[in-house]
Amino acid sequence: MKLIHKTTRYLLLVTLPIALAGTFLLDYLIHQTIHNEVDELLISELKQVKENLDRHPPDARGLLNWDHNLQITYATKSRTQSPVFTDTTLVDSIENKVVPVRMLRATHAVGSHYYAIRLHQPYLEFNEIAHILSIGIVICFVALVALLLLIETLIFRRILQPFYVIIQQLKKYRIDQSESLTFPTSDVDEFTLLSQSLDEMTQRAAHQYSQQKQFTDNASHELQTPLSILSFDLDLLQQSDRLSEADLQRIQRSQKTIKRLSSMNQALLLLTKIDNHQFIRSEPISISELINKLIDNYGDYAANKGITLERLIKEGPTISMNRQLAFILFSNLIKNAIRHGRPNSSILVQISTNSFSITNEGEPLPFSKEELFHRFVRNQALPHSTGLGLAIVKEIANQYGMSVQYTYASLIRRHIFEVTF
Amino acid sequence: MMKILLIEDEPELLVTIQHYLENEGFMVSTANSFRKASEKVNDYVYDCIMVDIMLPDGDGLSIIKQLKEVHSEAGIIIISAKNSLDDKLNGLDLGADDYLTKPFHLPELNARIRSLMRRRHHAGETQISFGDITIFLNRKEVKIANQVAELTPKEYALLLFMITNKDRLLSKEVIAEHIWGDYMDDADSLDFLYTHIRNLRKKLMACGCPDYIKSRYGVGYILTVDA
Repeated sequence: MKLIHKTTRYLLLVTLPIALAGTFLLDYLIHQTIHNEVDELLISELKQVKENLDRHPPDARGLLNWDHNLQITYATKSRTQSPVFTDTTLVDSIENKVVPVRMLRATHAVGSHYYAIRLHQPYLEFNEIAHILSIGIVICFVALVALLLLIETLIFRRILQPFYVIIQQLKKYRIDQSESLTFPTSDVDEFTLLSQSLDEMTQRAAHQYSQQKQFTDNASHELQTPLSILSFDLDLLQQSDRLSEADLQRIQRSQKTIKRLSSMNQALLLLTKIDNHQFIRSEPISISELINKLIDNYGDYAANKGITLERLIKEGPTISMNRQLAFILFSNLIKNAIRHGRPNSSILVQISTNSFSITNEGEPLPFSKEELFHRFVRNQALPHSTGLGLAIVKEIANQYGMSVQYTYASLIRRHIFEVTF
Repeated sequence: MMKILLIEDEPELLVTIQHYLENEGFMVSTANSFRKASEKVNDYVYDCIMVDIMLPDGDGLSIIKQLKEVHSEAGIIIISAKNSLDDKLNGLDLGADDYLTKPFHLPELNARIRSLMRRRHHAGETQISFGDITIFLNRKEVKIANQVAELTPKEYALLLFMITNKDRLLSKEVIAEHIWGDYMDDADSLDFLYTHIRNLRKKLMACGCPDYIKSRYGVGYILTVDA
């Protein structure tokens, strides 16, 4: 929900009950006020009537209804009563209509005579006025709210402009790009603050990123260079005619160890780079095409172990990912299957629209299934494995939101790896 | 004689590579910094330039840019400690011809330079001879005397690599890495190489070629005319 909708909703949620309750409250208050005013009027009239009676006590024939709102009669009971207000209705003789009136009844003694006084005051249009007034006020209130909402929408749109520009900028932001972002300045302090903070944050992130990149580059350079020197010297030493078989084999073993050190270093740096999100450049990769190429490439290794590679490759998906990472992900799984596959068995590779699976025959894992994707967990029987291949697989899969499942089908003695896209 | 400029800041690597390439019959000039490399590239013409992209005083990629600005015809091979596809693509985009990741083997370097030189000089070398074997590079054809030996692409690559590095002991790892790229580091996985070598030998000998390929204690192979 947009911010503007959210605020509008809350505003309406608050104002509508106020408007509703306000109508009734106003109506009640106006009524109440009119009531009081009418009562006051009647009391003051009563006072006047009493004074008149005191000054000119009328005889019995004089008690005429010279005002239809005032009736004076002789009281039947000879004692004074306190004034009583009642709401009642009377027939308006002129309009011939029943009208609500306020009535005041009182008695007054003049000498030995007791008079009963009845005073009326029609409410006339008071009630109607009260209704119209309260509804009118509420309508004004609602109109005011609507106007406020309109203004708010316009203001929001204007004020949030820099905010949307910032969002646009952030969407385009890539940590590996060299040019820095320029966030818009605004006369709203909050947005200026946001721009500044983002500016600092992206600069800091870019700095850290480049430092980490620098570190992996240096680490790689500093380790690979001495290994190169060693390897070159052994290459040259190997050419000597005076070497015995044992010497040559020592050289070969050293070369293999150098290779292992180097691939270990590469693998660790690769893991660091994946952790640091240093593989940003993505492109659409056709999974089927890649797998076919990899299988062709490793077919010779497999054939040598008497392993046949069977493919069940349907039209696989095209996934946007880094080419190098895609290559490493699948080649590690294929190499893993060939390396651990039982000689003279088969490896089955299957690709469907949403998964890749590879199975090879072999003994159950010598360690627990959970440890399989941990770093440096390896089969001790294979001294040349780095124990990092599957950790890298997991890491790459995680990066692209894929899942890697491992199961061992003990009945058919097969290891099954499945990558779900 | 082909002139090579070697740009590398690590003195020991520089000397070793220089000696090796000189033994291979190249004329090798060296530069151990960006500044010196930049000067040499300006002042002389080379057939091939090998550049380490991480130099203490600059980026080796800038040398490539500089070469391309003056429309140099030199072949360019990047040597890098980083096994990074991005760097590789950037380098190749700038106009480099090849990319080698450290540590590499010297016979591999030799093969890359020869291959690059063959691609560069279109009018130049179109065939290579070794003993009775003649390779026609354009057609990827191998002839012994006048008889064509039918080789698979892998056997052809194998033979070409061995002829390029003739009279040298090539370990199985070096050969496997050259032919298959990503090499599997299993102790037993390289035996398949034996199968390929055996098939190549058979095919060559079937055409009447003497057996030039010698195995050395199971460590590797040498291609030589000497008995």
